[in-house]
Amino acid sequence: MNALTNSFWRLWRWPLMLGLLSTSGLLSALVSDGWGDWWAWLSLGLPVAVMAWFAWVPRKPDGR
Amino acid sequence: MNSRKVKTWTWIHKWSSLVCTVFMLLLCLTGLPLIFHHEIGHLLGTEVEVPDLPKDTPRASLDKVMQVAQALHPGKVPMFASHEIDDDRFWYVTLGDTPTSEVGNKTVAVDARSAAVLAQPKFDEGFMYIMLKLHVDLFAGLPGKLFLGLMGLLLLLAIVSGVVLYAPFMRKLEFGAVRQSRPRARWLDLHNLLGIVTLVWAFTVGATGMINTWADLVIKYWQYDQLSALLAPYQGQKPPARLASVQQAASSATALAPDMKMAFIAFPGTTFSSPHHYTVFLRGNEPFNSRLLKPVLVDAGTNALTASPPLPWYLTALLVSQPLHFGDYGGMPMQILWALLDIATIVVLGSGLYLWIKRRNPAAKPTTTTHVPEPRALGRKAPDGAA
Repeated sequence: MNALTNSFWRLWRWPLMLGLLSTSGLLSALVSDGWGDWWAWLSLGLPVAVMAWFAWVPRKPDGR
Repeated sequence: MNSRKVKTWTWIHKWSSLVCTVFMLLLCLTGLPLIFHHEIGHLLGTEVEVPDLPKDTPRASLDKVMQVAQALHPGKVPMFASHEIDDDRFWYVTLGDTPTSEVGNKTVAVDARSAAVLAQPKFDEGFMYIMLKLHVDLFAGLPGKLFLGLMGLLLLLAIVSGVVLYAPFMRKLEFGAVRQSRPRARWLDLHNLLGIVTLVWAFTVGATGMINTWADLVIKYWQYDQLSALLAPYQGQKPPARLASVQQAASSATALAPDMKMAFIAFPGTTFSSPHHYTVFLRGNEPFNSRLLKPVLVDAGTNALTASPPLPWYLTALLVSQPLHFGDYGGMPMQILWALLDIATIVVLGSGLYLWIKRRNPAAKPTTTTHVPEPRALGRKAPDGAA
């Protein structure tokens, strides 16, 4: 993997993953009332949890 | 990305957001209670409470249902009879002075089994009505809707430009890093984090909301596009003086598609029908096709089946966009997630505004008078001193 794809991946892997997850959840509940709803709750709940985690959980000064 | 491109995208992001932010904040705030309108209706006692009867209780004739409702409002004409999507135990009967009147309409909730009047809900007053009107058209009818649709378009532009700008702003930072050093850095990082995480949801709700603002126009176009051809044989005829049985119309429509359920019936002369027809809208039983409708036109004078034109793509798009905007298709957990994502969007909008105001201060030259951020500065004529 060259440096360019590497930095692209570092920058975008989280947004891409959460975006795909949200998309699948928005659609799954449309087509199914059983697993589709459960998957929607999970896949839309995770981005909400990620926001809460990074916004509120205090981090060490080095940012990790 | 070179610095000129960044500058261009920054300009797009700044102005598309500044123009729409106030309206988007209003839409987010008024949308919050609307997500829970059924639950709030139960609390306020405005929701129709239906008595429990055995499942196989025979259903009352629709003619009787209409008669009962109309007896409460003599002089008004029938417009619609409709079911809630998940409850066919009662009918909402809508009556108006004319089939197309928009003010002074009356709604009567009638038990679909006993034909007893359950409630006379007032959809044109109270807290939820104000929230709904502010959210849908700012009390300004079609122009208000189209204006909000335009603001929605600007929001989409702001989202796209925000994603483009995410890369240059986040290059040196880990995903989710929220620097605590200065308030401005902290709010910038939160803006970027919440913005990029809510991206798909906000884009979906923004785009489907914009589509919904075109609903009136889309239905008018449907009349012109599809109904006018079906109405050619009726050219020169007067609408029927006496309406044939609406129950019979409904029965012949449901007989056409026994696996579908009735969603609503549009009476002759309303925007969803023609002057000569009952239009019975059926919906499917599956989660997805329960959102789609099948129109069946039945001659309102003779009860003869006229046609069942397939739903055109633009009505399908409108109907599918509705649940994606309302968040009402995944139970209470989804409503709660919708509310949380809505609140996150409020933070994105608010922090964006804050960053813009804070950015102007250090840029202000000592020669200019002390800068006071005013609401006026949100207007389109605000001086461009930020870049």
